[in-house]
Amino acid sequence: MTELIQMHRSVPPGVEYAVETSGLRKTYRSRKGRQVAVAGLDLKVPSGGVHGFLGPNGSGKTTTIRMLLGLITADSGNMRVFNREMPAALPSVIARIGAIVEQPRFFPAFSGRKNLALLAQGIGVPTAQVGAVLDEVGLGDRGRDKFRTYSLGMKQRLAIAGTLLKNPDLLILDEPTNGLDPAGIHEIRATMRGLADRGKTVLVSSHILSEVQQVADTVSIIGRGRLLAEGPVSQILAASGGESVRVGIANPEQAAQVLAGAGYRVVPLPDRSLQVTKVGAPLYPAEVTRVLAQQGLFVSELTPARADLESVFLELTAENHLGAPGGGPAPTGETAVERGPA
Amino acid sequence: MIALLAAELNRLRSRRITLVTLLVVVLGAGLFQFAVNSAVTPPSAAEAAQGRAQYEEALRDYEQNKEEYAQGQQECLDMGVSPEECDPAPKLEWFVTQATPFAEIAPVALTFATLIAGLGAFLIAASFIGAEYTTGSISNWLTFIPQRARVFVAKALAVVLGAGLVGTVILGGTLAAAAALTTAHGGEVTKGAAVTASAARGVGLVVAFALISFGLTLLARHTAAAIGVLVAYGLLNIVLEILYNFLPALQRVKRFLPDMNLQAFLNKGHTYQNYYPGVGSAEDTGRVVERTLSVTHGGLYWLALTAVTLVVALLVFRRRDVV
Repeated sequence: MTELIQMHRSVPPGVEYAVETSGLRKTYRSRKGRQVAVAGLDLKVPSGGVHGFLGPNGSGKTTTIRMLLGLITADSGNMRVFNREMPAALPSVIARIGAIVEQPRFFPAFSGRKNLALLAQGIGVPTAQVGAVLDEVGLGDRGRDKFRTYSLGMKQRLAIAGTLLKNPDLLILDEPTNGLDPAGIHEIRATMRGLADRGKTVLVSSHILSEVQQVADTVSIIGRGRLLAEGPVSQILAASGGESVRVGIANPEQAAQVLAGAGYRVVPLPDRSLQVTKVGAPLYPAEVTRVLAQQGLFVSELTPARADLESVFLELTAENHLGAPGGGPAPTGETAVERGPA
Repeated sequence: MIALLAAELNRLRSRRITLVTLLVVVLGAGLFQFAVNSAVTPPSAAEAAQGRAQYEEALRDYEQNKEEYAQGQQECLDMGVSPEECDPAPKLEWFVTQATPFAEIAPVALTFATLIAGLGAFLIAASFIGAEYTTGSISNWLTFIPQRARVFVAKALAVVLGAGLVGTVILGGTLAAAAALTTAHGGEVTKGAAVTASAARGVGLVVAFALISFGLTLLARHTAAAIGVLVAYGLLNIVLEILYNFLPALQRVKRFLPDMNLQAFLNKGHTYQNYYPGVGSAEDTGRVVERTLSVTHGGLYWLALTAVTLVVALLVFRRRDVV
């Protein structure tokens, strides 16, 4: 996996970045001492297209977004948005940025229309535009209802409508499909794709990888506040080995040793099965069973699978011990993440 | 900044709690006018005759027991109370209540109006800011307008304008009502300029109440915390009243209490009394010392209190993480 990361860390010539961070770090004080939320993150979001910002819960996605938006201050490191230094230049570029951080936050006693009208008034946008953006997200007929009566999906759509008031070049969406039904997820996905097709940059953070894979052009995968991999989705999937098999077996620890000895890459999965891939050579499932059987190990399940973002993500996070419940921010002094094979 | 201020004012006036609080304040100030009306109404002929009869009876009692009254007068003087206040001879005005002159009733009405309008402004400002934190919408707001100093100033200006309007309406209305009632009962409106100046200072105090509430809520990030400070101050006053009995020297802190300085600023000076008990002998029953707080002291006190709260709130708001 080290090669995978390194391959995609190289900067393709001619690529412009909407967002860049280097060495970005943020720690929080807590009763347990200082907790590292972001540990020297280097992030590059190309201009135009949808960029998936992926990581397990507690990996530092929201903290990074908050730092980009000036809501919290970084301990160290650099951030640039549209090639301008953040947060110093934030006032001059904020008109080009639309953002939803975590849940949509509006005044519950005001209507959706009133909430947006206040935002429009605050940034000097004609309030007549409120109706247009409400129509754009399909809330035109519910605009006069109180925000507190909205479903989660409607709240998300209202938040997106709010960001559209500015006609932003960069849209930052933090877990935008949380709590949405399939139709709502589809709508959000279509909105993101539509914006990207109009030349906008959409930075979407999520831990629902199948969603991101369907819409993202490029991704960054982080764990414990550090970058694990980044690049175009197609390249990341190709570099991960493409095909894999999922092996169910009574003694996964011994099976993993045997397969690793035979040149396979093995990743233990949370359900005690193994994900087996072979880099640089075709993978034959029958060969996997033969290698194991020769050592007296017999598989109970063998499922061929094409690589997807989820498997890459699991592989990366498992290698870095991030899949366990304790995979959140690491205390200071602890090695948060080690890149490369386990 | 104008757009930002307009948005804040729009939100302030659209809030239900703003309207409800204003209604309660107007109602309270209106009800107080019944007391003003009663004070400025001269006694009827029957009431005057009854009072005169009671006065004559009290005078007879005084003449018959002069020695006992004299002893009580001496004890009063020994405590340091002024001779006028210690004079036990009955006075006609004690029994036949006269209509209170405008110059006397207006300051009382203004003090009440300042307190109720100030309290209303305090609640409105606390809720105005607190709601942004409890709903989390401050985070959304700052993603649209990240210049925190500008956001702070716009909110503070909205509070100033809102509280200024409430104060002007309530105190102006109170003054106008007191003048109208006095005139209606045949009284004369005197010291109009002084009373108007006092009302203007009252408006300033209402604004100060609102700004302090704004600052406290920004610091605490919750409406309840600012209201809690108000309640805590009320409790502190009760505790201090008890402690004064055991530690008379503690009465020195009175000059630094907000309510004392409020009265000093509003009423162009405030005189209060400190009581220091005697050593225990029958001759030494203690002494009363009069102190006066000037209008300047009161004004500077409230100015400093407001400024310090705002500066601290601004510094914290600019630097603090918003999550």
